[in-house]
Amino acid sequence: MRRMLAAGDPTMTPEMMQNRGAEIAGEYGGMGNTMPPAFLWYYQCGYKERWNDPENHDPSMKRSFDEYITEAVDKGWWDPSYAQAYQRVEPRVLFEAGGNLLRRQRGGQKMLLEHLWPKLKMIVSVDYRITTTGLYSDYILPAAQHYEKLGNSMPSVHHLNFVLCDRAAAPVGEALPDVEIGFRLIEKIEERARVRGMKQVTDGKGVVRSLENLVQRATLGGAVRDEEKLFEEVVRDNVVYGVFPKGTTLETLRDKGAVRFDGWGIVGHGVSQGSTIRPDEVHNPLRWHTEDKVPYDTLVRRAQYYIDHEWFLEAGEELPTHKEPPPQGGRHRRFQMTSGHNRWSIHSMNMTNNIIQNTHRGEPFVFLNDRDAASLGIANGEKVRIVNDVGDMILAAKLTPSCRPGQVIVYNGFEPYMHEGWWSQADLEPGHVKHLGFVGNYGHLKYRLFSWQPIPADRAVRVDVQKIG
Amino acid sequence: MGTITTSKRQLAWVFDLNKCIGCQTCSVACKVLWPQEDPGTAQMWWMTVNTQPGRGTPRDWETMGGGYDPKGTLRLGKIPTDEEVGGGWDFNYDEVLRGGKGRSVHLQKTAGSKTWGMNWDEDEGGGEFPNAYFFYLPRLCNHCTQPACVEACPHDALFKREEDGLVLRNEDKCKGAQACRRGCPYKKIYFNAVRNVSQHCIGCFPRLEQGVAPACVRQCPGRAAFIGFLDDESSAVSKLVEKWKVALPLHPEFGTHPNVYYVPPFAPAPLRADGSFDEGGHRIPPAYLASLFGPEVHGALDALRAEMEKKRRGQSSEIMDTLILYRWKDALGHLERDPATIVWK
Repeated sequence: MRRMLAAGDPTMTPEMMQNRGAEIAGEYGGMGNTMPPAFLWYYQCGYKERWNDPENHDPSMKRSFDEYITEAVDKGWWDPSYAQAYQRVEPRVLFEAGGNLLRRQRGGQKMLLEHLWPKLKMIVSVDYRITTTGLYSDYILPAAQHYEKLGNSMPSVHHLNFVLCDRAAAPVGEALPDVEIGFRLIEKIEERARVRGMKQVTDGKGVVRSLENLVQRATLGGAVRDEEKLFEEVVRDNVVYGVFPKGTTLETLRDKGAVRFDGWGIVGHGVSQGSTIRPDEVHNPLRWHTEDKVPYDTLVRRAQYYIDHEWFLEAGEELPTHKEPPPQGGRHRRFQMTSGHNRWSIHSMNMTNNIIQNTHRGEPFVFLNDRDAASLGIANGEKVRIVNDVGDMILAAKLTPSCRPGQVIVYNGFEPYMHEGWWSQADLEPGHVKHLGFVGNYGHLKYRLFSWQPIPADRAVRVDVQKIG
Repeated sequence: MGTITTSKRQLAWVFDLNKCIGCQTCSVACKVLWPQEDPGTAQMWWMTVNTQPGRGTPRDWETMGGGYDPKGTLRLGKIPTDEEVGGGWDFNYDEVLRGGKGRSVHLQKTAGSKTWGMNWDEDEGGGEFPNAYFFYLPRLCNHCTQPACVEACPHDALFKREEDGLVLRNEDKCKGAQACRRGCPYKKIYFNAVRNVSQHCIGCFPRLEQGVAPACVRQCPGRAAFIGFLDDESSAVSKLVEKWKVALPLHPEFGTHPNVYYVPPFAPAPLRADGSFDEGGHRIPPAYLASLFGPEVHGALDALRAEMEKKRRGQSSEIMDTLILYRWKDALGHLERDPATIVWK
């Protein structure tokens, strides 16, 4: 495999080979295709009009957004099956697990509900809670909570521990572990295909995929159909790949609760660390490059800041540079809204939980500088309307001198249905993707699963704060 | 009036306010373990974390009185109102999630809900931009050495446990008079109107008796909480409180000799108008810290500053190592047993 990946380039490092492998994995592996959703948003969710509105443009753009994206696709910077699929085909099924699209989608619910939802024939939400997206779904498949199934919490380079999350209680009601939901769906698909005499389907890339023996294939001949057996296999694999120390089993994990990573194995996230784990030392990424002088996987194979791509040169961004944020939301608005993760807190997935609601204000809130609030005649706790060119929302004002004058802070995580009218913070974020994000197939600017993709900017959104009544 | 007995040993808590991140894991751990399911307990949070400066919980509790005057005479303060305690909110889940009313309704507190909560003024703090400041203050029953609640109780329902100094309540004796709530200057006692008894932190005594630390301490993800006997010289608590005197009681002037101690907080240097740092200045006014932890706080801050400076110079500092808490179980004193090893009957 390595020889194949390195063919024609004897200077490729293992990291580079791994990255090349990740790039072609979607095409040849059994995982199916993943694609950057920016193309879906653009062609099917109404963003085409918004991103081409000159009023909201990134001032660096010399042409319309459409001319850039068309050029990127025409020049083959993106796999045509990614870039063109949604120009040709309307999506019909939305299947999401734990995602809550209607809360998280930068650009807001309106874009999805007005442009995407009417095209959909079926919407399924797999979750352990009823989200706004769940309320807009045809089916909610109730999933087990983290403590109702066998799994892991957060393996992270920050603590280098794999923490076992074991089943402390049986799932409530009809809930099932998400893996079990997946297996049962596969069983059903196989059964329905048999009844309907369908033996295969052709996917968007023209790859023929068999519908026979799906369950056998997904469960390695039934060997990992059971939750425990599947997890044992996961642990064994991680030992083989050198992620977990030798001798680690589900039993030892249960005994100790966690295991310290030994290495990164062969997964992309790990190899991308570019650094070997040293036991009981702080982990620093990129040591292979900074200490061992192994070339970086960049165009010039050094730590590269200069990008001489024609679009970057045109935008004046061939080197990292500061630019004022584009006036998304309306150029004459007084405030800039920054949102993002909560300050340290219990995860927003549990935001509507009764106990968690009782640990804050029990309603969505926005931080305002105390003097700004005084100038608007707004009192602490008062309901205010945050408004801009693309949307508005109502939430409670929380006044603090820690908020910079001219700034409003809204944590993401509040469910839309916690707001009067259900409009929430993402409904004020225009969801613009920077045109330079569509540069592809150029040196290290190449799409890879879990690596990078064109994403919307959700910071410094221009808004006004209005006193209600 | 109840009688205060002297305990043989005293268990104490220490919270390092430089490490507390206000995540409420301790509060939730306690809430889920103890008073959550029982009738009449919805508004109770035996463990709370508040942003300082702030009005806290119950709202403006510091002004409600209680404790002892300088001569040692019991002062009865006011009973916090239900509104001042706040919280206990329930929400219209069924209406929103299952009512079929779509966007015409939204998730909100049910009618008549209190307008304050246990963490209502989170992250508001004090000062003025750009020199604003705040820090988090975890609070539970102080299991005081001179507990005003015990003396205030007309039914002798409260007592100080001999073996560890916990202040506990015999609920069979409690008649719901709430004199303890008047006596407690920290206002950490709640009233259960359904059962007509007052209730407060029990120090997780069933866990203690099995060698397990209280839930608030054991669950702290910030390694900010410590527990141990004050006379156990090997415990981190004893070292921080007795030996190095860098952990101080909250409002010592209340006169009850509380047994929850705090390592006072630092904040970044304030900014001058030209944007430079005023390294000698204080973002958190020292007078404010003294109003919370007494005049001893200045010495504690000086000592901590000196120890931090040692560490920066690459020298060793036992105090800083204790606070950094390289080995998490060192925070638990003699209570490091894993609760998972116990089979509860």
